[in-house]
Amino acid sequence: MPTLTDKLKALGVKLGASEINAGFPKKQETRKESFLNSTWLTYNGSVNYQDTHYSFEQFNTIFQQENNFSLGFFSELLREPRLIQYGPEQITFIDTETTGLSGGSGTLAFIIGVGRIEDQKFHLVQFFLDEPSNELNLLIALEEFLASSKVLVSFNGKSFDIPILKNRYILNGQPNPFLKLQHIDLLPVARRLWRERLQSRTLGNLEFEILQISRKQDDIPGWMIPQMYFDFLHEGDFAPMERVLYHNAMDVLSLSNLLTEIILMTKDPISSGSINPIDLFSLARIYEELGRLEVAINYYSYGLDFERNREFGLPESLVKESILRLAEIYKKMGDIDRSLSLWQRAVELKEITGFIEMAKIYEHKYKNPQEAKTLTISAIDLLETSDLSVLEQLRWHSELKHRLERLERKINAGL
Amino acid sequence: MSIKQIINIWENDPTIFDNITAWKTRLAREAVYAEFPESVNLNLVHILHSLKIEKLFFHQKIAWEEIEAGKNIAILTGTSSGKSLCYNLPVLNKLLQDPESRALYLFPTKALSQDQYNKLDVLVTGINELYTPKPHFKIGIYDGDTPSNQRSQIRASCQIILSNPDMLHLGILPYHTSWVNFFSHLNYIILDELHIYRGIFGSHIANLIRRLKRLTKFYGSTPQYILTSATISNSKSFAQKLIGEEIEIITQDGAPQPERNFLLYNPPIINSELGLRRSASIESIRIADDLITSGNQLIIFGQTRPGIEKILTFLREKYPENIIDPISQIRGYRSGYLPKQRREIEEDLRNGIIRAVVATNALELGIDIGGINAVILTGYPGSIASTLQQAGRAGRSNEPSLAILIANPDPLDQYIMSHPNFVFDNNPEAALINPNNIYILLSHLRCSIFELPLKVNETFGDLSQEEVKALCEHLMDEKNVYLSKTAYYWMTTQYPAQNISLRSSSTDTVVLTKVADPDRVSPLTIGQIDYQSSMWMVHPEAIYLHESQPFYVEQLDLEKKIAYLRPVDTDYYTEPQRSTKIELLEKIEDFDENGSNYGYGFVKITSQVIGYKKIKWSTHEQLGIGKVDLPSNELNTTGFWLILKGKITEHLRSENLWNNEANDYGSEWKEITRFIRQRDTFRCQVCGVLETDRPHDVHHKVPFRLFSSMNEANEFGNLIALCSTCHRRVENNVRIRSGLAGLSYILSHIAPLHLMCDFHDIGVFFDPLLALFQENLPTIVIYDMIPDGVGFSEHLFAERNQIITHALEIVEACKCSDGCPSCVGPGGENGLGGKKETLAILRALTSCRP
Repeated sequence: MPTLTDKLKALGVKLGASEINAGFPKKQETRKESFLNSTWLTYNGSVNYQDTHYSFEQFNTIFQQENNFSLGFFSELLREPRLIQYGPEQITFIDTETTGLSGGSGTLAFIIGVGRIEDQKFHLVQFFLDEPSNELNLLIALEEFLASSKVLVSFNGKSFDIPILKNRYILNGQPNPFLKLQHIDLLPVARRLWRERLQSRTLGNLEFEILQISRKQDDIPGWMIPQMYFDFLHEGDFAPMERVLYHNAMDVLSLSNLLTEIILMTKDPISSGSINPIDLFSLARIYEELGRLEVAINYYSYGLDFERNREFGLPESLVKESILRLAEIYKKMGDIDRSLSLWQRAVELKEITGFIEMAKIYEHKYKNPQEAKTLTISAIDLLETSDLSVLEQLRWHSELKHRLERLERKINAGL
Repeated sequence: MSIKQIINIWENDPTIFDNITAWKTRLAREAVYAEFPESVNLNLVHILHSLKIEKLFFHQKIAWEEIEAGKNIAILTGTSSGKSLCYNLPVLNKLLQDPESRALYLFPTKALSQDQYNKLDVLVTGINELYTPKPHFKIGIYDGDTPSNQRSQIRASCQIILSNPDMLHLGILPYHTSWVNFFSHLNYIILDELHIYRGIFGSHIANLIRRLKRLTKFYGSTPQYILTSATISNSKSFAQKLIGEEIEIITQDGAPQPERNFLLYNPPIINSELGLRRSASIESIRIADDLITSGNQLIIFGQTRPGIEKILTFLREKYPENIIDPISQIRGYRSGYLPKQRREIEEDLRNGIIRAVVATNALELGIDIGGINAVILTGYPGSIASTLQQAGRAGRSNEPSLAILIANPDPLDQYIMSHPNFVFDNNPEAALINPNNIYILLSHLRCSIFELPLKVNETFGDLSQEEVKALCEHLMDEKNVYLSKTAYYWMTTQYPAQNISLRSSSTDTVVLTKVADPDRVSPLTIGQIDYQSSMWMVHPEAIYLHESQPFYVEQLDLEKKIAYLRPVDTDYYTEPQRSTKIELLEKIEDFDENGSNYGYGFVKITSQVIGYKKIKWSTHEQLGIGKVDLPSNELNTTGFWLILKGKITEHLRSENLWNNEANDYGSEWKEITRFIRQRDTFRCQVCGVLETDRPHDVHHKVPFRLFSSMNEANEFGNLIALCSTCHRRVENNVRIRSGLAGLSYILSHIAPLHLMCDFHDIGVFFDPLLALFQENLPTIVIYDMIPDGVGFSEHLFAERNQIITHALEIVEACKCSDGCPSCVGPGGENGLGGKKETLAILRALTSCRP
């Protein structure tokens, strides 16, 4: 009866325990402990890690001016009041390198980069899984590192990094250390801030566009990373891992710089004098959605100031949108005059909504259906020459027609 | 008119009665009840009472007791016997004791899941309403159709989850860390319709269970298994092999049964020379008509979609619209219909609106349709188990019911006709699986390592530590797996479950694509099959049956691994013709009888599909052939062989067991023989000996009877001069070849009866001179078409005596003169299908037994 070994041989594989074991001694030679400069001792055993401290000259950060630091913006944005109380030393920035993208139970994090402000320096700890069987120690060490933190900052961590790490804790029979931490995921924040301005909001692109940092040649594209780790495991050559560590370090640093940048940007964007007009618009919209109407009014108005705008340079589409939103806000607040003057501007810019809103005001507030009708007719005329999509035209047309008919009925009824 | 009355009328009508080959009446049976055991929660009993379940059926009580005793059970009672309560009762009772308890229900189809969900929902709603303080139990379906925004809630809060093997494989096990609570408290695993998990599919499922068990062990739970299955010959051993644990089987059926009449009907012969019978569809319509016009509700099961469409169309046009509404009262049913349509039809069956449904086997599986008066099976459905399930759909509580199986000309159909005991009494079918099929095993080992690193001393299924180690080392060689001190880790970016299809044996597959309709933008993928299998199943110009719909293969692109298919309605199907070489790699076991050697072992098959035969559906006549150009292909698998040794062939030759028919070769024959002998210089063309006192014989190289015209047969190129010794030897070889061919045909057609497989799952090869061992001998090999085999060869070896006996019975009983599709194959092609020769061999084999 052919044994399994025979069958496997038939599958075209040469086997032999000796061949496999031959790999081990070789690997142990090349894989020296000193590749990583530190060791973390846990109650269960030790794990190696790369320990680096960056001074503030090495990278720019608001953390230099402690009294300017505040997580207030995030606290509002994420509707998490507790965030406000935390200072820079209570934040851990985290980024991992994993063996795959699937998120299933077989995906490991082989580099966990965590960074924290400590004594005016940025302390980066990069745990490295040099042997998968050593994972438990790594997880315990990570938990110990996180013990003094209250806030986690990541990029796409909520959907990716943290769920994978949670799996690893479960598979190693350990409790989840992330439960007591607040989590700020900068990916959705970046989207809300820079959706209008940037096509791509990957960390790399944000690094380039917003932070204006470019990496050394040492850096490698993300898709190559898992295979480099597998090669390391099978062959033992650590040199390529240095580049992966560099990549990870840059990612963590960028996280902290990005956080800083957002804090700076949102603190007092107008008086800083350096805010990008599109970003200011995005901020206005964010505050509008948060219900902070006074701030929204301030930011929208700034962008709409005629004289400034020539230099300020808010693109026309956003000018239009600003006008419409601001007018809507004033309307909600009951300030008819202000909203009317904005709708007037909208009309000048040939925005159908402007016509309709003004018609509404004339009809209901000023009891002037005749004027309302004139406006409606102008809108219908305008619609014919506009370059809106067919669907939009149809939608507007039907609404305008409906309004016109109603107004005519009203007029004929003798008001 | 009642069923009884119809049957009476048929009894007195020879045009029907004469074709009935067997008839069994099972008398009505009262229920055998049992009181609710004391250990059942009283609230649960109360709810069941309110649903009109006053007592349990006997088998439901046995099931309860076995589960209480901590056993795993398999319930084999018939259709509509209340199997669901056998598992719902213990599961719900446990929930009431312990709200943290969890149960996993697995069904082979989503339709079944939905049906069982509805049943269970009634019970759970009852519990939730009745119980105070409200425990609020939840059940949920978790499969491919579950919206993603509902999934985490179902995982977190449902005590009972209904799913299917594919979802378990792809969407649950690889993400088990999201199911911690569920797996930690898993008390019961229910597997429904177990007999479906056979062959390749079953081998995969067995491994899926192995993966599941590793995880439940990790999370600290030891669930009990509750299985349901149709009755097969190896129910217990099959179930135990599938789940890897001991099982108690429960066969005593306590449910009430109405009187059931089961008829076997063989359409009459209309051409006795060729052995052709009237088509089963025509008979089916005739019988259906009688039933419909007498006011009986019925289901007609058919095998192919065009076949069903034809019956459907015919019936719809038959009745005036004011009597029977053709659209709403005569319906079709198959898996291609939208779920909504199928639910409608099931509903209308239950409430009696529908008079007749013409269905594929999609209607066979457990979905509740109430009881139907009559069921017609147009053609043998391919397995006894399916036959019983389809027939089992007939039976309304108090009235006699009728099931009638109408045979096709297929040898197996014909065999069943003359052996009704298979259907009525003992199902000889065995469900076979090979969980340790190397390819399937490796696939799942990859998944299991991904799910949870495998420790070096761990076992997997019934494999030993050493075997597991060897497998892991192979995976390490592939660089997918990494050994880190004490455990094997999955170490590649790919997620293994994705590339594994539970229905094929390799990761190398060909995608079946339906050719784009003009009004469809992109082509539709309808399935996939093994790369290896693709060459004989979907070769160019093949007719391929998918979900009962025949497709014509327009193109097979082996590079891109796509087959392009177009739905058709032809009157024929195709059988691939292969040129094959066989090599025996290693014998596992064999048995020498006086004249023959039987055995099985590992074989290497090198084969190439070179053409195909077109075979008519209704009569199984051969309509024509076609040629195909495909590369050759190697298959390492297991095979069963039968070798005719010296003793038998000598016996055959010497006994002159085949009569030398005085063939009339025509008036010019004497002249022709003179000419040929002269042309061949009066020497035997084989041994060279010169004529002495007796003229040499003149031999037709291609047998005379195979030609349609005498002149063609007697063409000089086809004739040679041979001395009488050589002539006899050559003739014998031709006859042996012809007998082997016939024997191969009949064996390959009845093997599925024992193996519960499709005709396509096994390959047959014969050669009058094949050296499996040292000597060139007449040999037949039947092999598993699946690389590394699923156990067919082993089973054939075990059952060889019965199979040979069956073959002999069929051929002897067949009324054709020289071979027909119902016994040894149509006569007269390439030296095949010699009935006399086949009989001679079969008789010799059976008489040689100790």
